[in-house]
Amino acid sequence: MQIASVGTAFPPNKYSQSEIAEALTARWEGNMEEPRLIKRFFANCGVDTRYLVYPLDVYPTLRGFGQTNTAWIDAAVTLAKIAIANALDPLGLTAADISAIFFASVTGIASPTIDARLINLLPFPTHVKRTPIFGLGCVAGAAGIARASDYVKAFPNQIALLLSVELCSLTWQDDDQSIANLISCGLFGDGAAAVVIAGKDAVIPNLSQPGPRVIATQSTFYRDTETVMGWDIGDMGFRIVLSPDVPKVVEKNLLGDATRFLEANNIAISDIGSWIFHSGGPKVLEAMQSTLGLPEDALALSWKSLREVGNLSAASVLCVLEENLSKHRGAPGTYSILAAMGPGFCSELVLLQW
Amino acid sequence: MEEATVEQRCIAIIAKSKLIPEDSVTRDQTFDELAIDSLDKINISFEIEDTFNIQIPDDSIGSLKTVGDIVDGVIRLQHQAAVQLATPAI
Repeated sequence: MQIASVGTAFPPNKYSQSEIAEALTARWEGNMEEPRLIKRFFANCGVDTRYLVYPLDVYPTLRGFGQTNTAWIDAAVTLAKIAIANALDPLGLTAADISAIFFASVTGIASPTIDARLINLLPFPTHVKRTPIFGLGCVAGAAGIARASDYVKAFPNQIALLLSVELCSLTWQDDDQSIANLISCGLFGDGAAAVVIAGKDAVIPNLSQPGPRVIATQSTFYRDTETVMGWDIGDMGFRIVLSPDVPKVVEKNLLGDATRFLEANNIAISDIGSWIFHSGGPKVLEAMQSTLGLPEDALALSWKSLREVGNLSAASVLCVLEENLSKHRGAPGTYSILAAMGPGFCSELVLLQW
Repeated sequence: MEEATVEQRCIAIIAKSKLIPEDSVTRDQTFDELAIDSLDKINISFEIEDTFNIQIPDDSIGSLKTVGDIVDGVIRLQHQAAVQLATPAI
């Protein structure tokens, strides 16, 4: 099976980090002991720009879970259509060629789910299999590729679509000056990504060059770490839970997990040509790099994605994957590891061969 | 200000922020060794600015890894401020 293409989409409102910091400072300075913290913290998040689903002055007018979630549904459908077109069109495929759709998001909920609403708008087959995934958070990009790969392994002449839409700005809490919410407002952005994953016997009309093959995947759950990351869900929507221990969990586990995973596939860490990692934030990327003993520039594309669009939760690692596919393809036969971690706490590793 | 005095005052600010004795902080220690995270560093930077009457660039905090980096940064910013003051406006 292979990853044939990735398409991304971003909302129209692009802001510099300083513009967002200034807007938030104007909003919060009366409620903070040290309002200078916002600007300085934002300047050190590793983020230069972000795309937001609404202009900055609209956010204070959004009230409560219902209003923000309705906004999420509308915008998610719009962005998803663009991301899907960007993934399918270059391959000469349409939605009618998709046998299974996996939809991942953690920033809003809907029933019928976003994938169902898209089936009413695009020519997906009537018998398309739907797997909406909520709650995996940042790990869902990598886990979604793994689950879609499992599917086309079972049905090798079929094509699966992984779709992730994350509108993190709709989860920012206007009444919460906690450090966790400050990190959320400083780090996370909005965006969508769609990935075409084709079985080994699937027919793709306009495939200019083969994509990386999914060789193996590994899910790992870290017991008794459920307070490290997640949501507290209340009347005002999703309030982030984010422990400073996230980098420690990475440092404690990632090297062992990666080593065992690669040994099981008779590959050494030194055999990996590129690392396609979720752009979680500076601390997480630094922890990933140091614990695996990677050279300084090994995660350059993850840092670039973080700078340009912020942390997009599940969609982040898919944006990094798109950059690899479009501009930094591996030489034939070389290996890559695609990886993300998320609430659970848990990780997903995907071994790719170009 | 003498470099030794700058160092002493920086160490005092860092020790106070972490509620640890001043003599347990040395110039060559890293912030990781002192369990100082990025948020601690930002709060320390405000104290440093107020104490030395300097303006630390917002985006420079991430590059500070050791106590010595802060001391060197303060001396450099004080020097820059002195040069600006001594340069006549054109």
